[in-house]
Amino acid sequence: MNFAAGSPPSAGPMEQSATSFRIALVEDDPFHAELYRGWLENAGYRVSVYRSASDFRRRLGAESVDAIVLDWNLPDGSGLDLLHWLKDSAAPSLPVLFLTANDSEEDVVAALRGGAADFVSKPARAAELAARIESMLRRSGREKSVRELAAAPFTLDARGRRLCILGEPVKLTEREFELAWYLFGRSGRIVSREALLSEVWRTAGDVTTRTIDTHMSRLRRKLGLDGRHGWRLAAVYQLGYRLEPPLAESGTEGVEGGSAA
Amino acid sequence: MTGAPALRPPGWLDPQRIEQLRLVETPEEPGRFVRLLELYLRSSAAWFEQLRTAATNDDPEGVVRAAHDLRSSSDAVGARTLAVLAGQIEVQARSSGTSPPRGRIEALALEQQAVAAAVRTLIALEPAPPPA
Repeated sequence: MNFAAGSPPSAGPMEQSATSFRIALVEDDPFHAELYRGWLENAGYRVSVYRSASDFRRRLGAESVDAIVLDWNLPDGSGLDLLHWLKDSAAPSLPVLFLTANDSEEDVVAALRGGAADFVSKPARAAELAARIESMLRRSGREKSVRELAAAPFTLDARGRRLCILGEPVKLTEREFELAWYLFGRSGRIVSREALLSEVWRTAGDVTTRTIDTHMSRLRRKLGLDGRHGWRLAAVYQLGYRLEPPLAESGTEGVEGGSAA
Repeated sequence: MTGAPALRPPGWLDPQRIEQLRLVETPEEPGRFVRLLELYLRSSAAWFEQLRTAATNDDPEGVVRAAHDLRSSSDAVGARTLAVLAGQIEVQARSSGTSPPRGRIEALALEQQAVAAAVRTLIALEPAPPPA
């Protein structure tokens, strides 16, 4: 964590791994948006700011996020309505923290009963906010202690969002890197399209399985996952995909993420 | 911060809140703290004008929205008296469904100007970031 002199205590175990998390900050007020963006970036998170409920709904399907920090009062609706939309359909598993000046007991209860993982009243404090997000991510099972993967000739660095082949960086989009990280972390195992939607796209809406297939095809081409480096990205009929290591290290044959694709 | 916040003289900014705002600074992007204060100056002036206009037009919902934003951001910069005054106007407008009396708006205006002056002083005292 990169706090200024005289700063509060560090964020603890997540300090080394927070960089691999993206936080969606839904906050219409530019002052608060900049304040929290600065704090969270200094805590090692990547932050996407959404200035309205509609902005968030529109972009959520296209951007991977690990957690949501949500204001109550938005120009085109309430944060509570947005929370219900998320929990009812869009992304039920995404942890949500309410960060609001609406701090009556009634508001806190409504948010927590609506599915929010935590509630912080404004004005917030930097270290406490970071610690609460860290705790929320941990409880949701999104804690990632591994920051680097080595799968010769590939190396993946989650902190720098970098993938190299024999030390040479490969230009990938954010989504392609996420996808590669997910696949290399489960090499030899079948991953279903549902698991990819949930864990890489982190949404249940607005993404078709065709989108996944397109990304897979692009990743296969960019990384040469057709056997030229020993690795193959194979489609498994009716089940999903499997990244096959060079030497029949078959790994677990179970389907990651449950149901078949 | 612990315990109930004490009211400060007009224009006084709570140093603990200011230290929290400084935590947006990074070596890679110097000057974020000052830019944040400048953003507060612009935003708080806009909210105050929205509040005054809503009160003039007898629009209590508009008063509630503007007072809420002014309260929340003023609390964040440690302008506690301004936050309390804005909060009182917000609660009154919400519960009564009427706009606040002119005297309250004028008291808020005086406090808002004092806070703005304090924030500008704070900005002026900040060392300039090194050239890029």
